[in-house]
Amino acid sequence: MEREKVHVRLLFLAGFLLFWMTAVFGRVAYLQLFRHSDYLTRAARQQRHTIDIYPKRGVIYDRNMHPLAMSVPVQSVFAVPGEIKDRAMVSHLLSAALGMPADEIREKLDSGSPFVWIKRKLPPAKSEEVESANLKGIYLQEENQRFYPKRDLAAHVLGFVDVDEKGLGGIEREYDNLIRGKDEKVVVMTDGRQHVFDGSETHEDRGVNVVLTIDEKIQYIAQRELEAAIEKTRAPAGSVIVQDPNTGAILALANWPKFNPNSATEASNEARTNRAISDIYEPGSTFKLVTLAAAFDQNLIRPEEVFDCQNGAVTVAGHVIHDHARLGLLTVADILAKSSDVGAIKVALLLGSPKFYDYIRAFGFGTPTGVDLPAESRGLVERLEHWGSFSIASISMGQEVGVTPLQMVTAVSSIANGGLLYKPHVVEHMRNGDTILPLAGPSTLPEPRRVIRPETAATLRGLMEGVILHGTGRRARLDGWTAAGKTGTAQKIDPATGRYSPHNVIASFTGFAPINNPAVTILVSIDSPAGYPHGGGDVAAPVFKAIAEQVLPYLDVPRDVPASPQLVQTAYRKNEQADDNSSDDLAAVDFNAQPEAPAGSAKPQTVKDNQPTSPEVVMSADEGGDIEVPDFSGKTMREVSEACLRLGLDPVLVGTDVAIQQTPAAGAKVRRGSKVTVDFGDPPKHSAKSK
Amino acid sequence: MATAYQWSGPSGDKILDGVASRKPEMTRPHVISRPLNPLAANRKKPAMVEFYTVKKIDNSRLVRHVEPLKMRNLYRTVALGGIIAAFCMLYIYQHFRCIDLGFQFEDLKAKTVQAQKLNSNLKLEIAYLRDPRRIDVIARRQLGLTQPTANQMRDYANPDGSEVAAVQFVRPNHAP
Repeated sequence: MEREKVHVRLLFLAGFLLFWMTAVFGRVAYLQLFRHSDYLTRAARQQRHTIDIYPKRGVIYDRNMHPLAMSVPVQSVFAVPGEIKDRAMVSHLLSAALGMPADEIREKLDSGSPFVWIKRKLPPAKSEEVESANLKGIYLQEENQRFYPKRDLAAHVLGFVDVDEKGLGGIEREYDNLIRGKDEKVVVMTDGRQHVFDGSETHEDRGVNVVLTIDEKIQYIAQRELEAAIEKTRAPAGSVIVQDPNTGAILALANWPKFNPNSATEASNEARTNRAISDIYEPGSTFKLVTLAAAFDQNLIRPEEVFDCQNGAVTVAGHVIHDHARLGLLTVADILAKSSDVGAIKVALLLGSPKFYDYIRAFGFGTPTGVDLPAESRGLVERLEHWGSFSIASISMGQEVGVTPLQMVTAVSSIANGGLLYKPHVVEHMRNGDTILPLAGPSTLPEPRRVIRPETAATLRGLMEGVILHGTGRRARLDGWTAAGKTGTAQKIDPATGRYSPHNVIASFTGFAPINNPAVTILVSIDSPAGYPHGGGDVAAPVFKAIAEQVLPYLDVPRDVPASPQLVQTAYRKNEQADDNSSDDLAAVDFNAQPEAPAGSAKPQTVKDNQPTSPEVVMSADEGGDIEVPDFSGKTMREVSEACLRLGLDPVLVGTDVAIQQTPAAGAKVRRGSKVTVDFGDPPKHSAKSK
Repeated sequence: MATAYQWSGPSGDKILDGVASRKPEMTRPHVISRPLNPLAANRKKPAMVEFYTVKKIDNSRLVRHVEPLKMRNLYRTVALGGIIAAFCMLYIYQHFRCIDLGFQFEDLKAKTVQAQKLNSNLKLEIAYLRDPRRIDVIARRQLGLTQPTANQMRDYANPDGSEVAAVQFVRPNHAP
């Protein structure tokens, strides 16, 4: 009986357990097998979030990999008005943090939109202030903001972007689709506390980085000199282009007025215009280079050939053309040097309109150069069939034709490099990380096109040197380098009268240096310089000189002419009681000292004898002339350098320790500025005999 | 009348009808005369005596015969079950470990992103500090530097760093 009771109880317990397990497993099976998809969907909805990844714009570097434009992440404030209960309070708090009017914020919150931007791209301090306020309904969203750390440096080349980082000018616009990168969506899984525990991989399809041909140092030099010239001449506008004539690469492109891309919206359209490629101007006398190049290339003239400039006046098709001076018989070289319009017209008449037109087009005028910048103008060259009877004369002296500064400098570069017309470009290459991408689209570089024969180019280079040596471009003469160029003073049309204005001109100078193996071609154009003189030789040529004399040593271009005499500090003069340890050849040269009297004769009293103690610093006039190379044996580098500096020699020091060998040898006579190579090393050991 | 015999142990254990609660000892049966059925009291008593005996059987030396096949199957089943259980545990462990690592990984990714942001900001600051105009202003106005003239700039041949290092370390001693 008892046994049966026990047995019943056990059965009851087992039955209960069985029922419980059946219920549990049955429920599990029901959920897993029949409701699986429903719960999976619900879980995915709760855990899965899609995040938009806005790619960072690529960096724009100069040719030396110095960043000129880059993007960094910043915070933007947005609101979900539906979650905000007290909008007045929130507006007030945000107004204090963001520095915006509370009414403006309130208006945005009351707009009825479920999502509103309050302010985009805040400085870190302000975003931290908003974050610390911890307002419900106010959130921060990370975005990228474009910065130009060098401010207005190469602004017209770089361009600028809008608030959504879309390129609106310059390289930013031209290569926007490449620099921008691709938007990406990333799926992440979050737990109940919104902590991410899983996410899909990002492909990081960021924008490509662009390396320009611009050199930031040369760009700064060009901008600084242009600004100085603008300030001096009170001109409203101007441009400077520095180009490598051997490749067409643009090393600097500066315009005035300028703007800061960091606040591009505050700048005027005029300031944002890239005048170097968009503005058309009549080149004036600079265009005579094309006239003469064509005539030389056709073997119609020779440099020494004489033309009668008819005392500075000629009549063509009923129009009388006057030179700036009464010029009579001039050689072709002088026509260019003295910029005779009459001479140029006569040369053009020899050439004829069809040939002249062909060469104008061959030099690239009338067509876009294809530079990889937007908004380039093609210039203005009338088709041959539209030329009037006076056109050939007018065009030969640079009127009735419109060119851009870039077209002009590219044409002159072709003369500098021996007759090849290169496509000007500002993009050196593009890279994705460390991988250099092949050039494509507007950045592809076609083969250069031959415009004139090398002999023609060489002849013209010689003539252009004459412009600087004894022509209108004397103020462009460089100290230490040969240079060639051409001035231009083109009258502008007065909009009031429709005729050429005698006062408003475009003063320009285009040249290159050195003559043999040119390193840079520089164009300077000043629009409407005030006052007189305002010609290209007076206003633009000095700017060319200032830029070239800074750029050429920066590029390590060796001097090909001696530098002119300059006042230099020679040495600190010690007391008249000479230091016993000092070497005679290191004593300062005293040009005031009288030569020593011959032996036996009374020593003449000199002014020097009665002078007080010599000044501490001796400034000597560096007069040039033959210099005797001293003996540098056993001297240290510092001693050799100081001696060469004092004598005006150019030392080349090789090795370490003390001087053991020199070229030229001690006692040789050399010219000022000559190189003296000194080898340094271990001093030779004394011979056994001397010991 | 049936006669029930009771067994009584030395300590007077509980006595059950015919069943001893403890190991019985052979004792003299205690005869109990009790009429089981009053009606039968007048009947003649059968001459049947019931004896309850307990036989002590010592099984301690008995060894249960184990079939090897069955044991082998048992071991195999236990091992298989253990392996399955281990795999289940491993699966569960790696599942949650993955989730935990996922949290750590995302946390590290977030830190990496923060470091990259800081790096970008620092690069921007460096670029700003290297602005040629800024350096020019500092050099000219604050430090009083001027541009060198053409004659004041000298070209020095810079020996290769490895050459300088080689000379420094192999230079012979010229001490007397």
